[in-house]
Amino acid sequence: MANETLDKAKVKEAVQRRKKETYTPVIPVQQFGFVHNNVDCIGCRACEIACKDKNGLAPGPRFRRVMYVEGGTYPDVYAYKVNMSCNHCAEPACLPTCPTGAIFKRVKDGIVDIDSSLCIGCRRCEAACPFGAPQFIPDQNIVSKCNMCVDEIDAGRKPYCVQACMMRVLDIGPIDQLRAGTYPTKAVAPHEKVVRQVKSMANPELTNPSIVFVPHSKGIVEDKGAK
Amino acid sequence: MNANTDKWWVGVVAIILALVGGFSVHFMSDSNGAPAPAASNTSPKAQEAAAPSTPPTAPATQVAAATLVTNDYGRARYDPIHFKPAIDKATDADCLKCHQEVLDSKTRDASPAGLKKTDTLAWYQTLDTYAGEQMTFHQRHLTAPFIKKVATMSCTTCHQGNNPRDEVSGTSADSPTDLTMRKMVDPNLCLRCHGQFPYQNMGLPGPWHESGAAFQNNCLLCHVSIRTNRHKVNYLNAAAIEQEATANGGDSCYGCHGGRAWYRTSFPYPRHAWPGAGATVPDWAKDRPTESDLRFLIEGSKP
Amino acid sequence: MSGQDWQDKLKSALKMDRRSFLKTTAVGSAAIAAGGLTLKPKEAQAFAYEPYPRDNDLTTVVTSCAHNCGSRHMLVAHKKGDVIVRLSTDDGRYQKGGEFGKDTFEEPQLRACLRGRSYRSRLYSQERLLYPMVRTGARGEGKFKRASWDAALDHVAGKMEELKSKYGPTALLDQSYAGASYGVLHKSDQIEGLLGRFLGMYGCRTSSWSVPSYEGTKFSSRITFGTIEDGNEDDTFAHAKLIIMWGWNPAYTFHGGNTFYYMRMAKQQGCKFVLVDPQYTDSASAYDAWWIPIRPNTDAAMMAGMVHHIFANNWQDQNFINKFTQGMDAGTMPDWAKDKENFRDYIFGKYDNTPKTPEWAAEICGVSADDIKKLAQLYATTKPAALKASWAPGRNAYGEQYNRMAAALQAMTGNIGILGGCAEGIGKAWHAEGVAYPYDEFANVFYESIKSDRWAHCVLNYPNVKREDIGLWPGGKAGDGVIPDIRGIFWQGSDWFNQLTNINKEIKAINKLDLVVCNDSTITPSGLYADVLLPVATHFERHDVALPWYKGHYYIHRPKVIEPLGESKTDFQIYTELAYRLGGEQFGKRYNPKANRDYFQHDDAVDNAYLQEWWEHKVMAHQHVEMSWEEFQKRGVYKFKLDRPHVAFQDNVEKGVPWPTASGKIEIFSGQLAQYDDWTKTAYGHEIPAIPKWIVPWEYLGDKEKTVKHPFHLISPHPRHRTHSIFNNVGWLRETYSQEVTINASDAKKLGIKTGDTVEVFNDRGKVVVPAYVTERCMPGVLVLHEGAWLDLDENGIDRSGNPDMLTLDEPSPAGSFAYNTVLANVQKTDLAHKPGWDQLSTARSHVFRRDL
Repeated sequence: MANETLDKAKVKEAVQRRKKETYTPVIPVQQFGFVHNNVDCIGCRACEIACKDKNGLAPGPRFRRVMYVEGGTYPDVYAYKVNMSCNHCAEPACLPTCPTGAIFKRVKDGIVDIDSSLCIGCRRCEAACPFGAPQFIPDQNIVSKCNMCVDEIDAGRKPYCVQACMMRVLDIGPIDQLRAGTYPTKAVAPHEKVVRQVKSMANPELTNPSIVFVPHSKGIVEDKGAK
Repeated sequence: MNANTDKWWVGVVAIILALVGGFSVHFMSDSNGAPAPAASNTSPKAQEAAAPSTPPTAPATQVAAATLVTNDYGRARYDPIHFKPAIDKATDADCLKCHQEVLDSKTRDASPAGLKKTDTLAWYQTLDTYAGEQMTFHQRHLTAPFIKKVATMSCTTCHQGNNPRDEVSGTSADSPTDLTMRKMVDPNLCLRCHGQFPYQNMGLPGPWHESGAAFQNNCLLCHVSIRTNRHKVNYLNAAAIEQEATANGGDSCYGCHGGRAWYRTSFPYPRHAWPGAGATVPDWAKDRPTESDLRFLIEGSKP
Repeated sequence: MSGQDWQDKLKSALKMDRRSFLKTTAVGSAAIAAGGLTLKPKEAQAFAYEPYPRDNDLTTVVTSCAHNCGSRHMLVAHKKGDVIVRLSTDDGRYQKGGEFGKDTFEEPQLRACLRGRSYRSRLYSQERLLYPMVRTGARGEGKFKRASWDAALDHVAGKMEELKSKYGPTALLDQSYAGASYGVLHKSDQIEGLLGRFLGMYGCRTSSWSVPSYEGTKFSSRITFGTIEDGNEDDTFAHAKLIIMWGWNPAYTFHGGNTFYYMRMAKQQGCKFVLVDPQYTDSASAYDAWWIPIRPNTDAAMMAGMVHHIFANNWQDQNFINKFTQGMDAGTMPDWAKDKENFRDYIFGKYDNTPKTPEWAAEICGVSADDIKKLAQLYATTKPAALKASWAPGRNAYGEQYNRMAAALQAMTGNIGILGGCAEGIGKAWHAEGVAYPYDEFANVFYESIKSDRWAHCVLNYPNVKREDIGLWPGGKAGDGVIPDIRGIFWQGSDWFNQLTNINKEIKAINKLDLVVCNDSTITPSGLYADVLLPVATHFERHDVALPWYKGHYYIHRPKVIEPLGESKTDFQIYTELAYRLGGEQFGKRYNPKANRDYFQHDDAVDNAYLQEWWEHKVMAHQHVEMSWEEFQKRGVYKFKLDRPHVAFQDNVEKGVPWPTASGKIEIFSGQLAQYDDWTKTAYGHEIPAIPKWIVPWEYLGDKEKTVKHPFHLISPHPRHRTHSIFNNVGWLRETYSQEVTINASDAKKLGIKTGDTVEVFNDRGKVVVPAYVTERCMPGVLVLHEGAWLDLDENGIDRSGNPDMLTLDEPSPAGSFAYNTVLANVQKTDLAHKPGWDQLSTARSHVFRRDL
């Protein structure tokens, strides 16, 4: 094998040198991300079930989650939904935590995936993710998460959740175009603007998640920038 | 699965790491059959870590005094202990009565593909402050020798309740508020020890691994006089941290201040006054509070 | 297939995820992956080391959902060998001229909902019925032993012969319902069903005539328009300027494949939405609707107030009224009935000195007079406006009056027959060719027919039963007015015991029966009360074609995706075989003319012959379809493109085509109802006014006496995570939504109830235990408990699942509508236990922290 020729002393030196560095984020050629319309979503969770079926998940772990938010006082009430799975962050918090290198980010499209075959179930990624994406699979004692259906992406299609959306309010696209409003998607109506963060969501500055929302008026967060 | 195949696998891991973090090198030596440097360089400290630790399990008498736990799972999920205000009074024993498994359950010895946990370390686990075998994050935060030395973490340090109905605030008229979507713990809490090293604020030319040498890899070189009033919160052992920093120089500080930076930002620590602090507040600190969060104040230190 | 084989299959099917594949194949593929090992870093690949089955490596089979919801969506099975690995749905590729992503206004994708997407869990569920079973314990106890098909069918046939000879042609009650319906061949239904034809041909059948979902609405549509085809196709909703969702929650109950989506398009074009409902539903939030909370079962009163306001301001479309309606006012009354009550004069109080003003209505329905006026004005002055009068408020005491009142509003504002308007009602729109099975003079033979929710009453009180007590349909072949002597029940596509009103009464009645036969693919709460359980192949395991439901213009092919699990057979196979056992070649061949007796073993060729004949002689012949049967099978779907949007009664309005009523008009005043003199000789049994009226229900919040003991009005709408009771056993779905009782926050505060508290909901008819959901989204005084939870009785007969039909009354409205939503009850905290499912596993994410339970 090729690595038999490596100089072990050099290896040790390299380890020493790099010890105090942080990891270097992968800069994808193009970052894919999600867009979800919080208002028009009927909250049917077809995306969730499609995801569970696709990924063969038992009840318990939920890669994708449609969250119901409500408020107001009878009869002046409001409700909306926020739909999130993995946000395939520009600088994912899960990735550097992984002691086995199971987590990786694709250069091609910025998809963050866990190769669960390498997972030892320490659950650090689950703790570190500000958006609750990594899910513990109890019967296998590993962590797994949304990989944007890379197999479907590679086949030129869209992920199962997007294809499941009955209201066409969930979509994927190049995140820069989604943010700029230049990507054609049924998730966003012509007059609607998207935001990076909605109420209750962790600060996007932590990891720069690749997701935008059409927010409900009661779900708008003032963009305070980095906290 | 035979041993030979195991080796193949480790090689595969190396490739991923090469891509992700550029840290292929030390794994290469492992796949060569040589002992992995970090895992085999068991320091005396690491041996201590391997010794059986005492998990913060309460004796049986104390458990009996805790909230009566029902066998009805639906009811258990809505036990008042999971919500404010009862959760503020919950002891670790109370929590562990049902959740003992967060300490008992172990990581896998090997990944499904056969990667042994003893054969793999992340870069931050090669820092001097990291010792002991792979644990789950709950164990690492509650029972690892180092954390027990420098901190007094309890379940409720991080956990402030959750919403069983949906993992977000506002799912019913009486659901808990101020929860972070899909999270059992507010990530801002994690940020305290897992944020970036804010070298710009300190006026350093670059990140610590570049500029550290110029300061003898010793944070206290400057910080012996700047912000001397450090770590005065109830979940940290300020004295032990100071001692650790004095003994180990930069590495121990860096362990929490950039060495395990999961996030892009740094925590905006409160700007406690310190002896000799100037009157002018730099721009980056203008919005910062001057006191820690109420619930982290050390008893008796403030009203 | 042996038991062990099947279990292995089940295991592999449910575990067909990328992890478990690994266990068996990781070694080999790891070696392959490492074969290309170099030191040069290369792009990491998903599943590089995991032999994850990608869609393109699997066999793709187009099929559809088949349960009894308000829609019919496409499912695409991806299978490996004989195991379905996963399901996807329409992505635009399958229709003629299709391509990935095609999703146009004319040909939208038929995307399945969460229930459809969960089919794999149901197909391979723990509750899947695999072998014929014969009861060994008491009814309801759930003790069965496995039997051979031979033994089970002999037992059933023997009992049938015995009961027929002893008790005559009404001894067997057909309780086939739509749970396995909406295929053209394998149908479960009262009127067009395999069981009905089998029992009718056998000569022993009491049928059940009232439809639980919408009998009041159906009555209204028939009486008013002369047809139930009063519906528009779903795309027409995109053209409305105002949509009033009256008790309608299209986010939960799909009427048509894309109604909710077309409504989103309407919203984007400025359409305004109103929701009249005791709950602020997810439809209200998605469409940003003006929510008007209303007391349950008072809808007709509010509508009367609106009618009053429209007339009082002269906002009605008098031209439309004059041309197309009968009895809307004195001027439109038929000559023979000039002395009878007309609608306008009723509204203005001519007959009872009570003008139905908005103020009068406000007292009853709890909506302010101002809001009633505002809505009336909005509806009368916005064109086109769709008042969608949903079925739920019709499932009430005098529910038919609500639907008839709505029809009057739709007519008086001229919103009928125009694009963007709405005359629904039932809402059946495009007419599909629905029948491929042998359809002949035996299709719906019955010897008596009763109101569906009166069987227990009939059995318990026989023979001291009056015909009007059970809604006896006139003209039964055993002679008019003979009370059926019901001794046995057949269930097909029907978890009836779980879904009918007043379950405690049913439990009493079922113990008086001599035979209960249940055909199902799943062991349901009803099945536990059966004597014989016959395992039925699911729609993945038999050949059929899916029909759209009441809206939609398409057919979806449903091939046999996999072989039937266990020893399951189709209903058609079972009844054919029973026919041979009961009546030999003569009955067998007559019942299933294309088959021989070996149909029980070999059904493929026969089923295909029926379907091909249907396609070629009905679809191709009648519906201008040129696609061959072979091509249709290959593509899996045929979507029609209509010449113009399908709007009910467009030709009546534009071309003067008469309505199919006796008068040819929209009958606000019903000539038929006005001419009955002995109501006890009608199926209704009790008087129904000739014009729509507000009639005080027997239980509602306006009842000062009854509300002392039971101060809450309980409604039981359709849940989203079940179709009636179907899918209740799917863990995936119970994870997304729980059975819980919704209660208003101020009510909950008074009772000390918090979200998550276990409470008991009760009245004199029963008691259920369920967790509470406390919200501002529900009207005070109202409780909401979704129908269909699987009955789970404790030793005291208290239902721990939260099935609202423990509390409903088995007293239908005269016109036949089930009074599911006419229930007063009370609620309080309890120490009793709730059981979310038979497996008892809660499925919240926090479950992963609590593996010891």
